[in-house]
This record gives sequence, C-alpha cells and structure tokens, in this order.
Amino acid sequence: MKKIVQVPSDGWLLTGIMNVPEKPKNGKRIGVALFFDGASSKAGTHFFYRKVADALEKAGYYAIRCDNRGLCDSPEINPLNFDARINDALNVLRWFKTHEKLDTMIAWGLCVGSAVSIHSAFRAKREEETPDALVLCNILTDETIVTTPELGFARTDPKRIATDMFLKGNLLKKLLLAPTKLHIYRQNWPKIARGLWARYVTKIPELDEMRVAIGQVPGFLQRYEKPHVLVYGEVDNYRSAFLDRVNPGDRLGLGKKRVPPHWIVVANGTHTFASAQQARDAIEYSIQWIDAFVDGRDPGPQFDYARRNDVSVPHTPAA
Amino acid sequence: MGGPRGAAQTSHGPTKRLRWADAVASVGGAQRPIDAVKLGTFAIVDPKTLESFFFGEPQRRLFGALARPRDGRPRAAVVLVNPYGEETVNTYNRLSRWTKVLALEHGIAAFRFHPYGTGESDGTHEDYTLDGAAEDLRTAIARMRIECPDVKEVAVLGIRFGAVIALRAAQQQPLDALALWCPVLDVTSYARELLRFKITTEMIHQKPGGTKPTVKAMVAELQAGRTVDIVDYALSPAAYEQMSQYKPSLDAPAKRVLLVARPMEDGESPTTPAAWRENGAAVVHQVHKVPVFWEDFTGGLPDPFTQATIDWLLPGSAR
Repeated sequence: MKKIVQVPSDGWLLTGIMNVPEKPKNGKRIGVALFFDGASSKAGTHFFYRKVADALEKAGYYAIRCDNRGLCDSPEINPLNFDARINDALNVLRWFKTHEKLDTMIAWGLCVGSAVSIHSAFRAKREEETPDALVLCNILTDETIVTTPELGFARTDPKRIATDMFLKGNLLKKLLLAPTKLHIYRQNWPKIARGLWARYVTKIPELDEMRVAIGQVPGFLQRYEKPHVLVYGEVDNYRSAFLDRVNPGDRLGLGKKRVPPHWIVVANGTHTFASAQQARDAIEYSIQWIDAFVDGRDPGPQFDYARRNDVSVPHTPAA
Repeated sequence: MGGPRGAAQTSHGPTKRLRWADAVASVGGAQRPIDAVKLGTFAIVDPKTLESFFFGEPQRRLFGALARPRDGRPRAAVVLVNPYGEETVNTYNRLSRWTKVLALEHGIAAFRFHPYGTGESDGTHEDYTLDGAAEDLRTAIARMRIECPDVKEVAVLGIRFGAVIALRAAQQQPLDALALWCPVLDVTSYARELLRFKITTEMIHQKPGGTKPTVKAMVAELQAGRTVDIVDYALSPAAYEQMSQYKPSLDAPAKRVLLVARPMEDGESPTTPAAWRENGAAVVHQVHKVPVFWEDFTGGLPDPFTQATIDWLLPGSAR
C-alpha cells in the first residue's frame, strides 16, 4: 500500500511516498529510506525509485522517499544545497524509524543520494536517525567530477580537462582520430572556448561545498563499520572513477576492513540503470543483499568485495 | 540551510538563516525573488500552499499536486500536463517550482498530475496510452473544478507531448482555455524519435558484439503486440498505435488558445492555429527563440513562455 506522507524537517515539510508491505518480512518492521539526486523527483528518472520502493514493499519492507525541502512536490521553494539534503535525510530517517516503529532501518541511495546516505550515517547523533546498513548505488566518490545539472555543470577544472584529453586512454587511438576531431574542434573552437571560459569564471559556492562533501566520502567508506554494499553500473563512469582514481588497487583498504563492503556490478549498467533489464537487476540484487542482511546471513561469495575488486571482467551476482 | 523559521536551532546545530536573496527561482532564466518578505514571515511552512493527494477512481488512482495561493482564493486555475518520459523528469522540478510561483506570486491555482502508469499514479508505464492520459486529464480538470469552485474557467497547459494529450482531450469535448508550449504536432515522427532515442542511448553504452536495435525491428515488435523498452520506459503497442494514428483536429480545442513555440517546432503544423481561429477560438500565437528547455536539467523555464502564460491566464489584470 502506498500513502502520501509529510515529514517535518527543520521547519520545512517534505512530501513523500511511503510503501507499507502487506506481509512484513519475517514479521518484523524493516524499513528502507531512499535518497537520490535532488534534480529528479521522488519517482526518479524512468520512475526508478518508485520501482525500487514497490519491489521493496513486495519483498516485505517498508519504504520511504521524500522530495527535499522546497523541491518538486514539497511545499515552498528552496535552492539545492548538500547540507540541507543531509539534514532532510536525517529528519526522514528519524521520522521513519519512530513513526513506523521500525526494528531495522536501511538507507539506500543512488548517485548523490548514496553520498547523502553515508554522510547521514556519520552525522547521525541519535540512535533513531542512524541507519543499520547502507545500500550505495553508483556512489559519487571523486570530487573532481562533482557537478550538478541544476547548477549548469559548472565549474570547469582546466587541469582535469587537460589530463583527460592528453594523458588518459589510448594515445594511439587519439592520434589516429585526431584529424577528424581536430576538424570538429576547429569549426567549433569559439563556442567551446566561450563555454569553457564562462564555466571557469562562474563562482558557485554550493558546488564548492558539494565537492568538499564528496571529497569526504572515500574516508567515510574507509571508516564505516556497519554492513554496506556498493552497487555499480558496469558502464557508469562513477565506477571507473572509483576504481581508477579513488581506490586503485584498493588503496583505501576496503577489502581489509573489519566489515568490508559487499560489491555488485550490474551488467551493462548505466548511471541510472536506464533499461528494464538493468533496473530489474539493480533492484533484484539490492533486495537479495538486504534479505541476506536482515536474515543475518552472508550474502555469498558473489557479493565479496575483496574477491570482486578486480573488475576487469564484468560480473554480476550469481542467480 | 535554515528553514522558514530563520535562525532556528535544530538537532543538527544552529542553522544559517535562509538567504532569500539567494533563494530565488530561476524562472525563465531570469533571477526573480519569490516574495522574500512574504515567505520569510511564516513561522512554519503552510502545507495548504502545496497539497499532494491521490484522486480519481479507485481502479485508476492518480497522483496530483495542487499549488494554491496563501489566501486560498485563486484568481485563475490551470491544470498542467507534463511532457513524455525523460522530458517529464527533466522539467519536473522547474515546472513544480513555477506552479508554486504562480500560486504564491500571482494567485493562480496550479494543478500538476501524473497520468496513469507514470510517476506516483497507479499502473505501470506499459499502461500509459494517449487516450488514457487524455481521460486522466479530464479527471484532473473535474477535480480542479471541485478544488476551485469560484474560478470561472479551468485552463489547461500542455507541454510538448502533454499538449497532444490536451488536444486529444479537447477532441472529445472542448476545453475552457488551452495553452500549449512547444506542442508535438507531428506525433508520428515523435513516436519514431522515441525509438531512435533508444538506439542512440544504446550506441553510447553498448559493448562490442551487442545486438544493435533498429527502428524497423522495434516497429515490428510493437506491431506484433510486444512492448518496447525505451530506457526503461515501456512503450506499449497501444500507446505506439495511438501516437502513430493521431491527427490534430482543426476544430477549435478551446474558446481561448495560447500557442507558444520555438521556431524549430512551430513549423510542424503551420495551418492548425489559423484553422482554430477560423473555427472560433481566440488564438494567441507567439514564437520565441528560447533554448530547448526540456532536454536537460539546466536553466529555468523560458521567460517569454512563462510571462505569456501568466498574462494569458490573467487577462486584463494588473499584475
């Protein structure tokens, strides 16, 4: 059953949808709070969050997803702000746990929502706002690629552009393709230059704040001591950023942690799992992992981060 | 970020006073403060200014969000019809924010709803059809009449494919007043564009050796009665058939019509506005060079569009 809820958050009201299962899993009240990028509504791109919530309900879990303060279907108007998102997340978690008298509460996030989830776990001061486990989908860990579409994809980092253009990837292929590409660049250089310059000079404090916040995520992943799973789309560039730049060779030592993360790669998965098959897989694997966590069993070797950390070949959990 | 309480203390430490000068809605690309004084004086958010609810028949439950003026006495009423698929997601927050502006600044009650099978309404995307969405629009208009009994006319604003839904509804019974933003008038081509969009998306992410979809193959699938997955939006054979067979009527869809378009889309059906005029409608037709606002999250809504619509919704009133 789906119902509309309004969650108070620092004087604001967050409009959300709560799914209540007909048959709660193991007869217990287990809830999953969904967090996401504020640009899309709580239904999400291709209604993905709604599908996640509906699937959780079917599997016996409570689920909640709210629009951030002043955005989408929440009353009043407010600009995007990472700090506000975390406060909203904590207020949602606390409300969800106490209002629904949950025995266990899990935070599930996608993209920025994953970063919000792990930030919330570290900022939580009370037991009732602390998630018991995290499902982190396509988590943003590399502050150099932080941008927000609402902010106009500013601000350009020239050093990073130069590195990406000249030092990353197959140099031979780049040289072979250069004549074609140079032609395109030559035709469009005034437009490109204007765009880059405009982006470089634009000052966006919110973006800088967000970069700092995302820069903290790898450290949080190192220190997080409760069960958690990293779900990545195989072709999502956040995954390659995580593996190649943030955690090459498991530099963060995640595999050696007392509670290492579990690991799921969705075959052909894009950043938002934008196909019926990808969405089904991402949801199914997330729920498989949540089931295992709730049942207190090991989700199995297919979720083993340490073994799966070498992801040169695509793999998904065994059926 | 603090809420409307200003410098209220929260469980997460003192919050900064909301900078209303910064808390501006970028409506139409222009920075316009949202009545800072009025909003700032409220101790808590007034939930009546934006109410979300389910409505319609129990077997076809729809989700809607109604933005109302603070005094509860709207000067005009409008029902918005979203575009299709990702265009809805891209514009969702901006349209939502604009409806709040309509209500809070201009006294116009604005109702957004999700057609059956989309967003938070019941059903799955496979259930979404043009005729079904048109029927849902009529349900939404009926609900709006109940919500705003003192308003003489309930206008409809259709955006992109939403305009087609509105025109389809008007073919059954003319509407009071109809505004169209960049309407998709060549719906057959649009349906094919959707199929091409799937091909483009898959080309970007597909690994070598994968099966390449073609428009011809997808049309064959649809004609054989099978649903096609377009980045996780299920396009059903019924939806495709209705799109392919749709022809705009030359009968006046409403007594008053506002048609605002970009030069690119305006040529799709050049004779239609003239025919509507000949058939008794008071047609305001404007063409503005504005960005393609429905393709990404960036920027605001086009200022000439929002301005023209407000002027048209409140004829003869000094704003």
